[in-house]
Amino acid sequence: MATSTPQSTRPTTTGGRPSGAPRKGGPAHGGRPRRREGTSSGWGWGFSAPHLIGLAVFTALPIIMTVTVSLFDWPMLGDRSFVGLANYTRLLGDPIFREVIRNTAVFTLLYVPLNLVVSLGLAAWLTPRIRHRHVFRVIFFIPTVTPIVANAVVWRFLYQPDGLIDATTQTVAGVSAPNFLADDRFAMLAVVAMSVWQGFGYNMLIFSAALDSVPESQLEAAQLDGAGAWTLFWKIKFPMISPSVFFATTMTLITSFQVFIQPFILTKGGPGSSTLTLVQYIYNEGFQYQQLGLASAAAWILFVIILGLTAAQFAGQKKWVHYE
Amino acid sequence: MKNRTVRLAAVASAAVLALSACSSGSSASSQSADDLTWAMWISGTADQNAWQEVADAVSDDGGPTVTIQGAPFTDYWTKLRTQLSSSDAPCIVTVQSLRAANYTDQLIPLDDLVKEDGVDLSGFDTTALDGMTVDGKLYALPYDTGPLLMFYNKDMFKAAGVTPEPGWTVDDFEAAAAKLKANGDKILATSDEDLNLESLILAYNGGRVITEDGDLDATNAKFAEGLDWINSLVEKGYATQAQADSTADDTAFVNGQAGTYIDGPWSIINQKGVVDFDLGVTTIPVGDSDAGTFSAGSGFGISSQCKYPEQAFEAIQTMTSEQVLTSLAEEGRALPSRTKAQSAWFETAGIDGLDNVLKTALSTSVPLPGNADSDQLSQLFAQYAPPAINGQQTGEEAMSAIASQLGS
Repeated sequence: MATSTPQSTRPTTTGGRPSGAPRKGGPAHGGRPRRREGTSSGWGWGFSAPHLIGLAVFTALPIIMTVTVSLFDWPMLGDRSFVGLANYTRLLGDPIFREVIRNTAVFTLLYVPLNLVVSLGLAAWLTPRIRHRHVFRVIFFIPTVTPIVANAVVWRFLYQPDGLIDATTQTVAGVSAPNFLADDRFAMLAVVAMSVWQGFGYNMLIFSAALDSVPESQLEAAQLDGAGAWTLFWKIKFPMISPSVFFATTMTLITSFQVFIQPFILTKGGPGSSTLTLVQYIYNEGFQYQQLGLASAAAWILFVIILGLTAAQFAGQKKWVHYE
Repeated sequence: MKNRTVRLAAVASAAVLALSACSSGSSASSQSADDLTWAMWISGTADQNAWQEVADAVSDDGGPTVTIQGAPFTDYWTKLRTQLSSSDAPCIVTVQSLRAANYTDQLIPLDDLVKEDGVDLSGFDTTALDGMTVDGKLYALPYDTGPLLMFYNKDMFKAAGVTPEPGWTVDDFEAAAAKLKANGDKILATSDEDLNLESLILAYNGGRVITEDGDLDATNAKFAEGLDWINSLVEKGYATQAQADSTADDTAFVNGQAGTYIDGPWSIINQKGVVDFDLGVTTIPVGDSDAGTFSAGSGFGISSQCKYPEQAFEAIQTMTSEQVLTSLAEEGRALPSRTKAQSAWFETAGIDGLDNVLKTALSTSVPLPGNADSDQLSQLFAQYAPPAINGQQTGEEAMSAIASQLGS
């Protein structure tokens, strides 16, 4: 996690031992047994092998394969033909694809700030002074561990005409609620609201843990200097937890660009294409319309967008993230 | 030495883990002349058991052993494509009539086998056979068939004093809708599902997005008018608003939020067990056309990768035999494609006047031809039909948006 201390000077590459170095930290030069800098024991490789192989087989290999596929007209059944960059030019010229990119960006712009505000707010509220805070923590975390498909189906029942929201407004105020999921003015907001509810628990737990580890002595010192709760939070606590905030922001941004299940269950991308997101577009092209080449090209565009934004975030972190 | 051993052991164990993870899902036994695989949609244990009996009937009849590879209906088509593109494609493939055209490259025409084995096809319902025929070639032996029908809530209709006689018209339907509305009920649960929506509009004015020859005609003006008509029902408070959810209509009907919805005979027995009111079935109201209703069904075909087409054909003959279809009908599965096996199904269904309703519907039913883009059309209906039905767009706007994305 991002909160780890800076790496020591130990070389991370293991291209073999420096020549002449003893193989293991045996008694050398009369000193007490000591492991030499730069020696590599096979254990490191041994323990990382399952992960490395998993990464190679399930991540690196498919990434390379999608590059190839994206350069072909590649129907799931039938003949393939090399088309060069035609899939990319077709996507960039497609008004639906541009709308899909716009929808995904709108979702991210709404979802990421809302998620962070809600999770940070609740984490700040859940100080050790709150009674039964662990109960609240569990309650707030439940949506995150519940299967997202089940959540989405339940939310669909809430949003539907004659659903809970509509029925409530009819009894209380005598007016019908909008048909949230079938009205293009509300559909995206409805998807975002459901996603925030589903997703804030994870970040809240990270923030809550980070806030707990802020040293009491520093807070006390600030209080003695006359800092109020607001100043205390923004001047002391927030800088102290900024590595966690950075981590949470980065991960939330990545997952929000990959949003799929919520619109897939709630709206199928509709009404029209107003909630069609990038991953759903890729799914439709690949598995509904069997255009694997086009789907791979779209997946690569998504990959490049996420890579670029994450790189920008890492570049910008120097300005506001404080590692101790 | 020791390091290397550790490294090797770790790599090996990780590789074993990875490979076993891969293989567990795809351990489709390789097929042989006496052991064939059958791809089928399965919706639960009861379903699985019923189809297992069909598979067992083949080996009991001296045919090959048939192993079912099941998937839920919604995932079936996605899975089937992946399977058919692999080298060990299942020999026996279940297809739906309206999707038969999507699979003509992957299925073998059965006409030669029918001729060689001297199979008598006259026992099958002709609409069922037509549904499995693409460009004059038969691609599957049908096991069920049926025209799309209108299911209704008898209690709700009785309360409004209306009896929806088979063959009723759109005018009768709207008059009934007004009476139901007076009781605070909506008459129709709208749907954006291809088969249901297309059937409702075909009966209304003959508008269709897939022509009789199986060509796409997404900008068909009559079909767009049909969407506008459904919108007018919503506006008048006769129908529920559409949702991007293919089960919204069933749910609204079962929950008593609407008095009717469109479905096929394959659902009657299941729905009868689900609803807590008296279930009625009638024909879809007819407008100013005689186009009637679409019929659909499913059947068994043979994949072109199959190395044992003769054995597979022998198997699907048993699977669609009168005996097997009768026992399926007795269990309440779909209306059999063989006319002789249908009476058993009517008995199980136990709905008064059902045979008369079906007779009326069948007299005007036409098969809904498949089209290679029908999966895409179905996805686009889920996106663009609700705004048209709910009145945020006109039918024409919605259909031209759909047309601009089709056939790409």
